[in-house]
Amino acid sequence: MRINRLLIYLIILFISAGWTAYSHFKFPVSTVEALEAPWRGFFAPKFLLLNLENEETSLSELAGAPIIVNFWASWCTPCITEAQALQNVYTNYAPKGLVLLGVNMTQSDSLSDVENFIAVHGITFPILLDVEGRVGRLYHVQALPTTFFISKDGRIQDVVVGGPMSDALLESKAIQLLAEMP
Amino acid sequence: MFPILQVGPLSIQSSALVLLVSAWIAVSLIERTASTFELRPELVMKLVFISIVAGLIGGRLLYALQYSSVFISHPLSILLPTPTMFHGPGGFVIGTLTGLIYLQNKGMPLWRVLDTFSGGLTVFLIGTGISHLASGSYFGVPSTLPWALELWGETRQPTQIFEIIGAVLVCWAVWVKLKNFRRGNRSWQDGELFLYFLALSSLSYVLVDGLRADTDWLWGSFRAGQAAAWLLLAASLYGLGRREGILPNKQQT
Repeated sequence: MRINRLLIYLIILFISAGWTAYSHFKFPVSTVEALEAPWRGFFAPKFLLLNLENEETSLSELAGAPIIVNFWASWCTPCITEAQALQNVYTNYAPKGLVLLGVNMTQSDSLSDVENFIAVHGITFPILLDVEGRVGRLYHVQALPTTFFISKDGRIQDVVVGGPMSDALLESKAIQLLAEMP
Repeated sequence: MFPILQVGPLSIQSSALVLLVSAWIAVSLIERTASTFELRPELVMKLVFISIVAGLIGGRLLYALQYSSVFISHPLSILLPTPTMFHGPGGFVIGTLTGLIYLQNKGMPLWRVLDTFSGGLTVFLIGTGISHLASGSYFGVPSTLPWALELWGETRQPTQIFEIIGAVLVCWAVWVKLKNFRRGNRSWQDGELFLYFLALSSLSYVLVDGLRADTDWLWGSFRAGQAAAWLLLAASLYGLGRREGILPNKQQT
């Protein structure tokens, strides 16, 4: 009985060790994911949007820089509350190489409200207009604000759904992104 | 996948909600099983409470220490209820150490306390699996097999579902054993139930992690989490073997 049990334990260990080795070679982690998807670990989906001056900004052109992408709307209360913290992190960390993009969900907003929001909150970071909601859908944005933290290698490092985000949270994330090796 | 629950103006992260509910159920079950292992439920609950609080405070303090320049400028931010500003591994270590100190001060037997936790932990594991399914994390490698699920732009191995099935099986096995203990069908030794739980849950992790695409603990390209789980499986089977008499055992209750 004791020998039987010992045998069972050894078989379990042998099979699980075999599976560990097999999965290492069959599904090598370094090659399994090179996809774009709006989730941690994936490459950030590429997009091209216009700003209020009709100038294009493309995510792929910003490759190599740590990027924060914040989806917002002028009617969203937490977006209003966190606007100053976003502006502060932009003022303090843009000179060190951080890129901050505010993507306005223009499909559910109005241009006049967006302009008013920028003026009232003294926003100087780039605001892009998602007029058709295409980028919002691409990033599976289900609640506002939603913020993506993208590493220098283009992978999504973290996603914060909801808000408002505090100065401390944004600054610590900015430091983390800037400290990472490209 | 339902990462967000919209309740009126509130956006609730469904994965966090599932984890909270399963933690609450787990703690209730731990309280109920304490007397089976001849422990005072109120002492066990104090131990759980102190460990959780110490873990939460420790995790936040370590995060603040890691980004001290930020928290010197915004000292009150340390009190904000933001789960993202948390040092997970540090919080776990501090919570565990605090629990161990409390346990030693009160003269509670470690293995028996761990046995008491086993039933509740199995329920928490199920909750963890459901939370992964809700958030879309813990996803599998691309696959064309008939049971593959569409997720993140690919058909993938349904690792979250495998994780839930594994956790349900572990839960069932542990509760059957716990029932046997309660009925006095067989004598038991301190630590036996916990090691049984640890062996089964480690085995489940080893099997499922091999199919994960977002495994988060790596040595180069090697799945270190899977290897660590295998070592844990080996250690727990060794401990079980000692208690079951395959190797000479030490204690009998």
